[in-house]
Order: sequence, then C-alpha cells, then structure tokens
Amino acid sequence: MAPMLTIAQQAAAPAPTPLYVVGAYLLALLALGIVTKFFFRGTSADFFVASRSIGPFMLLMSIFGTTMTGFALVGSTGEAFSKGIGVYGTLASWSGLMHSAAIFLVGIRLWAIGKRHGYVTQVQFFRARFDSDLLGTLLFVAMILLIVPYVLIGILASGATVRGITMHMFPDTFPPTGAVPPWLTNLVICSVVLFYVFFGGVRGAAWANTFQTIVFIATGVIAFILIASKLGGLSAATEKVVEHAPTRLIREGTFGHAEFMSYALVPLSIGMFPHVFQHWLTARSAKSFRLTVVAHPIFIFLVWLPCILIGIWGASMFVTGDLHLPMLPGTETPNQNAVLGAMVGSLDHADWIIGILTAGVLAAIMSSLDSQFVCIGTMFANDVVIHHLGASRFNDKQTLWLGRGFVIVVVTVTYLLSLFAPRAIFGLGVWVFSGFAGLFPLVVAALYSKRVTRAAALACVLVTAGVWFALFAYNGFGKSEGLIAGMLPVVYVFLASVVTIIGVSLVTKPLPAEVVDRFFAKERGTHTND
Amino acid sequence: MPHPPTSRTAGAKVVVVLAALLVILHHDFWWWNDGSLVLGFLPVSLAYHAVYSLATGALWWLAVTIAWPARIEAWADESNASDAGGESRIAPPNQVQASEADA
Repeated sequence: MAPMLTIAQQAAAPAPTPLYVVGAYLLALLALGIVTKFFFRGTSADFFVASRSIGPFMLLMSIFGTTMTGFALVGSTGEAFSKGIGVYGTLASWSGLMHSAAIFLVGIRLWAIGKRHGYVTQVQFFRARFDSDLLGTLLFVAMILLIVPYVLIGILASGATVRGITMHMFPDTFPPTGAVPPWLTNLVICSVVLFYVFFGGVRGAAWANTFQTIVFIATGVIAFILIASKLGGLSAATEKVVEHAPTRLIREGTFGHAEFMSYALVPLSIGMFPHVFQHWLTARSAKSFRLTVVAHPIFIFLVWLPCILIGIWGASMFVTGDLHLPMLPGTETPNQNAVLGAMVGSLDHADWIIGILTAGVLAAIMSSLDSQFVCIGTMFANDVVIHHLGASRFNDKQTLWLGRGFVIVVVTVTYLLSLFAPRAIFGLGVWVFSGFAGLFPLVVAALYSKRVTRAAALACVLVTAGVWFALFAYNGFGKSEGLIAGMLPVVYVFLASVVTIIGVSLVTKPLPAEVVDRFFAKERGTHTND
Repeated sequence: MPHPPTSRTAGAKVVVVLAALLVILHHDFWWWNDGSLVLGFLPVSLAYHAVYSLATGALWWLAVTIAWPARIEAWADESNASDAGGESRIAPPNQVQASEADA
C-alpha cells in the first residue's frame, strides 16, 4: 500500500490556512481578555482570586486545564513515540489517583485556610503557618526557580507544535525546512497569553481555561478519530505498530519495575504548584471541589489515551518512512516534541480542520501558561511588594503593574532559555514536577501536624531544593532521567524532604499554640487535626 | 447509590483501603512483556490502565460521598473574611512577629 501521509511527497508548499485558523483562535483569546476586563471589579481581590467566586464547573476546567500542559499532549505523545504504552501508566493513571488525592486532602484545606485568613498566595500561608519571614522568602525564590522550567515546557511545546504543522509551508521565508521557527511562535504565544491575563487576572485565566479546556478535549478526540481513520482505522493503525514497532506495545526494555513504581510520587507535585494553589483559592465553596476531585481522573483518561495511541502509531509510521520529523540539532535522533504536530499536520483533510486541531493543542499549552503567568505576578505583588514595602506604599493599580513587570521579566528569561536550551518536554517536565513533589511533605505536615517546627520547615525547603538542584544539574539540567538504583530522582528528593521534616521537628522547639491553632478546625471546644 | 457508613471516619477508612488497593494494583507486572491487543487496537496493559483511570474516578466519587470533610467546610464558612466581596483592597495577612531565634 502506498504511504498515505508522506509530507515530503507534496509537490507544492502546503497552504497556510491552518495558520490563519490558529491566528483567528489567538484573536478570539485576545477578545476574551478584553471581555473579562469588563467583569473585573478593579480590586486586587478580584484580580488575584476572582473574589472567590468560581463555581464547580469552572473550577474543574481551570484546574484541569492548568495541569494539562504541553507536557500532557505534546510531551506524552512524544514520549510514547519513543518509549511506548508504558508512558500512560507512569503518569496518567498515577495522576488520576494522586492528583485527586492531593486536591481532596490538601486543596480543600488550603482553600478553607485561605478563605479564613484572606490569603492569595502559597507564600502567605506558609509564612503565617510557620511564623517565618525567612521561610516566605525562601519559598518565593524556590517557587519562581521551579516555575521557570515549567513555563519553559509550555513555550517549547508551542514552538514544536507549530513547527510540526508548518513544515515546507514557507520554503523561501524560513529555509531550509520552510516551517515557522519556534522563536517566532514562542514570541507570539507568550505575547497573547500576557495580553489576556494582564486584562483579566485570574478570572481571565479561569475563563480562558474553561474555554480552552473544552477546545483541547474536543479537538483532541477529533484529531484522534481523524488520524485513526487516515491510518485505516483503530485496528489497522495498531497492527502497523505490531509489525513495525512492536517494542512500543510493551514495557520490557523501556521501563524498569522500580522506575515505573517511582513515578507515583511525581503527581504529588500538584500539592505545591503555586498556580494551582491560586486556582484553589478562587473556589466559591468547598463543594466546588467535588466535581474536580471526581472528574479529574476521567478527563486525564480522555486526554492521555488518544495521545499515547497517536504516539505509538507515529513510531510505526516513522519506521516505515511515512512520518518525517526534524532531527535534534547535530544528531540523527528525531525530535520527539514534534510528533503530535507532525501527525496532525500530515492529515490530508481540509486545512481549516488541521488549523482547529492545532489550535486545540495550543489551547492546552496556553491554559497552563496563563495560570503560571498570573501566579508569578500575584506572588511578586503580594509576597515581595506588599509584604516588604507595605500595603500603603503603592495603590492597587501600581501594585498590579509591578506584578506585571515581574511577569514580563520572568517570561523573557524563559523565552530566551527556549531558544538556547531546548529539552525533551516529557523529561524536563518530570524533573520540574519532582522539585514540586519534593516539597509536598511540607504542605502535608503544615496541614496535618501541629508538631512540625519552623526550623523543620526551613530545613525542608533548603534540603529539598539543594538535593533537587544537585541532581538536576548533575543530569545536564534535564537532559537525562537521572535514575538512581533504577528509580527516579523524585524518590530521593521526597525522601530527603520527609527525613528532614521529621528529624528536625523532633529536635527543635514547636511553635506556640496561638500561632498554630488558628490553622486547625476546632472540634467540641478542643483543637484537633481533622 | 451506596448506603453511607454511620460516620465519616468509617467512610474515610473504606476510601483509604480502596486507595491502597488501587496503589497495589497499579503495578500490573503480569502484563509487563505482553503486547497482545484488546478490542483489536488497545495493547492489553494500556487497556488495563485506562480502566484503572475510570476506577479511580469511581473511588473519588465514593470519597466525596462517604468521606466528605464537612467539618473543614463548616470551619471555613465561619470565616468573616471580607475578601469574598472583593470591593476593597485586600489587607495583607498578619505580619510575622515571632523571632527567628525560636527556631
């Protein structure tokens, strides 16, 4: 059977229609940003936590959209292309269990505490919980340093996706591949996201997330159906994998048993994502969390399963020469980040359909970037400007603009990193999540133990950050997995965190009851853990 | 709809046991090297984990039904925080006063 999806066989440059559709989608987001401005109440409470008015459906959409980054679509497809179906088990099925556990056990409590004490950032909570300005400062620095590679994932994913669908589209403008270069895509995406979050704050991000989550789930399903159809149907597509890339159907040779199990800790990172924390605070009530807790695993299933199948189908097509991918610079290794974009771009359907599907992928990416950008600005405005310079030093408008300025600085740094330090998205993502997951014991201890001390919290942040960074740097800043005794680095980072918290708490003085008790619900006139 | 246990604590214990069971069942070593297909297109291990995801959703439905943290919810609602209205600027949380020397 003649290959059906060979891009190289196209005699003329493909029409730029998909890009026009993507452009229209981006314009729609800009318009959404302007619309949300009219709902913005003009206060920092509304900008930072949407006045705590977000209901169950939008909370689900915004949290799910925020957590499903370029890692989930572009990264998972690319990783499945390389390592097969085991990728679903490493993160998708674990995340369904662990994410919801973190939301149920940590998120609801943090929401309750945030509501009682008026917090808008994680740092405010930890600073007050442990009565430590130093802890607040350390956490702020740690969170920003971890957010940068997290934002980098999204930026890399957007550039790789658009590059994948525009191969040979502009041969004269962008030689030799003719594809829109990542530096341009990344610049446009960052600018669009900055625009709509600057207008609407976290409410703008929540609205955009709701819209974009619906878009990327719907287009993901459509892309999956169209790609399967083009390959001759679900069975025919997988049969090609059986024939040409059978190792993608098993885990033997690609995942070790200990490694597979150690992925369980990675999804706990959601408990310390500052941008997810901010979304939690927007909830109208505790009941708003119910839908999120229950539906989160189902939505993960809807998004990841198609991506994994597309990835392994792409592997067989690559072996047969039916899928062309850019190579990593200076190597003969295909750039796995480009797989999803190339699979979508190779469809011989109407170009506007390809454009819609591409917009769906970008929707997933931007639904995380917007929350991250808002969070960065929120943290700077509240944890640095207001906290250190005083609430009366600047008015609301000035404070918001200081926050926005900081966001621009961080995004600019990250954008530059995307140009000079490309990484496999999945691998970088696992490293980033490992850093946040390492701090999960800290938030659990803060919420469930009155015995954990200030010294333990400080030591935990320092030790966790130190261990994580040492391992990250040793492994080429995300270039390799860094397995130790067959297990992911997250195990050792997490272990260091737990040992530090428990060990230091046992030998240092606990905080006064009047500091701690206000973070725990009373029961029958006594202060207890719930 | 399952008949809820008589106390939230009993419900929580049920959820914990089921969650632990799911943790153990996650490691489907028996299909580690098995590339056979289910429904003609799904590798068997992928199919297993897909069903696992759905089972997880069921577990969390059970959790919000029989182990809902009602006390936390009530405690949050006791708050007189003014930020819900959003009409005035948020005042920063209480400033840190204790000495770092206590650490």
